[in-house]
Amino acid sequence: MRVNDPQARPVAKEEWQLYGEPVRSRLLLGTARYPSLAVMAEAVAASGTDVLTVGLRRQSPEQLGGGSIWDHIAQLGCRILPNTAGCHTAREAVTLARMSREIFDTDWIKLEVTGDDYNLQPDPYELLEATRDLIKAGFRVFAYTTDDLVVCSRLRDLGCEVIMPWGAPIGTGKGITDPYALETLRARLPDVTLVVDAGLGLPSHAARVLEMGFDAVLLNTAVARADDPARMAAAFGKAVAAGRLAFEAGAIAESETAHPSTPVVGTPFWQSEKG
Amino acid sequence: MDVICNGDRVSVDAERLPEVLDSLGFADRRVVVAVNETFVAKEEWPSYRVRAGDRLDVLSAIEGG
Repeated sequence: MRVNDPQARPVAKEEWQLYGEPVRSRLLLGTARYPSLAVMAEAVAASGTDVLTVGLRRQSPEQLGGGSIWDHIAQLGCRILPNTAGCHTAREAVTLARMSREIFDTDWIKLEVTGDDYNLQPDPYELLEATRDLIKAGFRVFAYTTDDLVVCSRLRDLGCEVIMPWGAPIGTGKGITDPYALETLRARLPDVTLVVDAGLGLPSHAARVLEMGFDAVLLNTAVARADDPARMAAAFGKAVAAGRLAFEAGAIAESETAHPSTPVVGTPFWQSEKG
Repeated sequence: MDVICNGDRVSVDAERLPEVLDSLGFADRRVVVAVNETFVAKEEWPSYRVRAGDRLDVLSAIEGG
């Protein structure tokens, strides 16, 4: 399969937009934790994603000697979304975002500001401060946050067009731990692009997120650490497409009682009068 | 003079940032730089002078989630 060959994508997808840029897949994919760069490339191709997340780290000249991961990712033909993973303050995140903008040549930034190292929970106060500063500096902020409605509302008020609430803490694979909170977010912020980021483990988790009306999912570990990352990437690609299709189709309302599917008129062996 | 590069104390014979990076082995590498936790854009490198004790962060692309 040729990388990013539109003909090879797993399912048909309609185009949508992130900060005015057209994308097709509703799956945004991370590039970390794969067994190898070759496996990562296979998974990217199988997923059909248009957007890949990357990071910035200290590396020695020796580590850079064989060509960086950048060389591999650049060949995949996807849009790059750099992150600020590891930052704990707004100042750190803003500095790292500026560095990312120069090296990756994009004003997109996945803004992560960690407030708790145990569950990698975002710090809402530093996140809001960094968002304000980055938007002023011309960045297109993809804010990674908890599912707190007030924080997400404040992010929107600051001009953040893509808000990324977690499904569960990063890398846990738990799926959606608080569906009520996410349902509330979707209902209360109908005009904001909402991408559920982190904590998903199964394609069914992703499908459910899309069925709920979220615009996309962003995940990494669930694909990268699967026994067969490329096949799992394909499964997630199909799941998000199915979930979105179901959302657009409009699901039935739940009912507390059974309703026969087969028409009751003409039911055999039934008599109005026993005689 | 001694500077801190990526957390390690190192000795360099240059002051201008491009030469400091060259002496540290980063010549022609795709890197970005912060000095004392402040981003130094590439266009500023030629005129930027590193001072003894400065803390350099020399970063490059890596996989990320």
